[in-house]
Amino acid sequence: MRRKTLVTRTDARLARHLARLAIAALALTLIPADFDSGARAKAIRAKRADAAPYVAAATGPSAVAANEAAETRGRMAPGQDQDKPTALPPAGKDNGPLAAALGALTQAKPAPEATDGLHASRATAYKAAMAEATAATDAVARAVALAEARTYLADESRSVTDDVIARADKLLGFRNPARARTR
Amino acid sequence: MSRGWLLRAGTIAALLLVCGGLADPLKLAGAATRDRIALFGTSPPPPPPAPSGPEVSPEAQLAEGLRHLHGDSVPQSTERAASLIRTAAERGNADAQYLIGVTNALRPPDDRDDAAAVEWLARAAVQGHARAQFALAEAYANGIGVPPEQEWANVWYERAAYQGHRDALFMMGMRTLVGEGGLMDRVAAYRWLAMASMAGHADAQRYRSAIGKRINRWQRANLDAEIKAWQPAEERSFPDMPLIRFVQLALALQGFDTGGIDGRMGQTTRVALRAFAKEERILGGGEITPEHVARLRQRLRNPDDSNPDDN
Repeated sequence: MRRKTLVTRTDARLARHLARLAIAALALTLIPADFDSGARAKAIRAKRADAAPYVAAATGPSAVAANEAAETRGRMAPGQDQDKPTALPPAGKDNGPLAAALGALTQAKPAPEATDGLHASRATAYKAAMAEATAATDAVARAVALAEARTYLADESRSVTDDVIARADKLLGFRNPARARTR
Repeated sequence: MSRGWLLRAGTIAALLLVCGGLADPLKLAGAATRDRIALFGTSPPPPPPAPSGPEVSPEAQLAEGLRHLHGDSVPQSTERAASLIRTAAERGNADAQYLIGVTNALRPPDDRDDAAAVEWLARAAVQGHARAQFALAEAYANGIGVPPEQEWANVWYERAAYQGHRDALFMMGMRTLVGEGGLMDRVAAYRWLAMASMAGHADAQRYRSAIGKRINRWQRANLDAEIKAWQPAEERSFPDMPLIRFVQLALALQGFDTGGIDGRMGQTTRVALRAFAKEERILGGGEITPEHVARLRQRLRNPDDSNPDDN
């Protein structure tokens, strides 16, 4: 009595599932083989890029990126394209000064007395960076460490940095800051 | 009964057939999923392209530039090296950007372009290049190519320090000790210098010992235990504690109560930020936006400046 019809409730459910599966299969087979999922990815990337400053503003680092970028644009000369990501000259133009600066990296290693008269903290930093450059096996890592080391020898005024260290020395009672040690 | 079982068996057979037919489309769907995984960066990055050919990666351009610079298996040419390195930098390579930015200091004083150098350093720094972050911090601290901003310099020193940059750790210790660009805090200074010492800074240990004698020994023991477990961050910290600390300090200097300067975005800081935004007529809730940061920096540079919209 219970089974009056051929198709029971369970079978009907199974048939419905099967029908859904068939529709899904049909939909999938309709996707062309050369379907370009990249277009969707590009759209997502574009949307993300637009939203990045706002999203990142809450999280931090990129807020500064956006801020620094805004500052960079702010420093551009009037008439320059404000949307252009850089205010610097394009590649290949006026590389002379850069070439000269890079050339300084390839010059012979400065003599040990190069740190004479240098503030102790800078001399320490120079030696550590040089040691890192010497130990580096990768060409890029070596160049980067070498560039950092050489900048410690540059006659760039870092009066605030030096002053901070002098004040710390005074605060801690270090008589005559470590400057004397390198002379 | 037997008919029912027959029907079920037939259904299963049909199902298997359909699944067989689906094999190819499923492969397709799998490819799409792989694409999506690649987009979100959970799968290993694709292999870098070969250094020759029309699609040369910026990394390969930088490496090629360095080969030309040193004459390594190619004729030495600083001009060619400069051109390649500049192109790599313009294409977003942080190492190339750092090299251009930092070698500015190697030029003769009358031939330097400090402002351009700072721009290159900023580009590398925002990508998380620790050395560039340190160089940028030095620029902001000493006013090289930019107006000096001690509080802002600390943000960059601290970011580099979190990544384990030896000199940045040392400078954070020194600056916190004397209260440069922030609050004077011996305990924090001790912590920074201990980390600098761990990172291999030759002078840090001397300063650490001297400060250690001036702080509570229980406090020192706790700090030492805490520092032992310290590891440099692989990536930029999340949330960005240096930036939050800067915002808290700048707000506090403007007279807003942030509930302390702890680098955590708490409710009191949000309320203070909202109040500042209202005063400055900045849109947005209690979240940090580039505009908040720009206005706070402006206020710190020129404390007497009022809202430009008021004028």
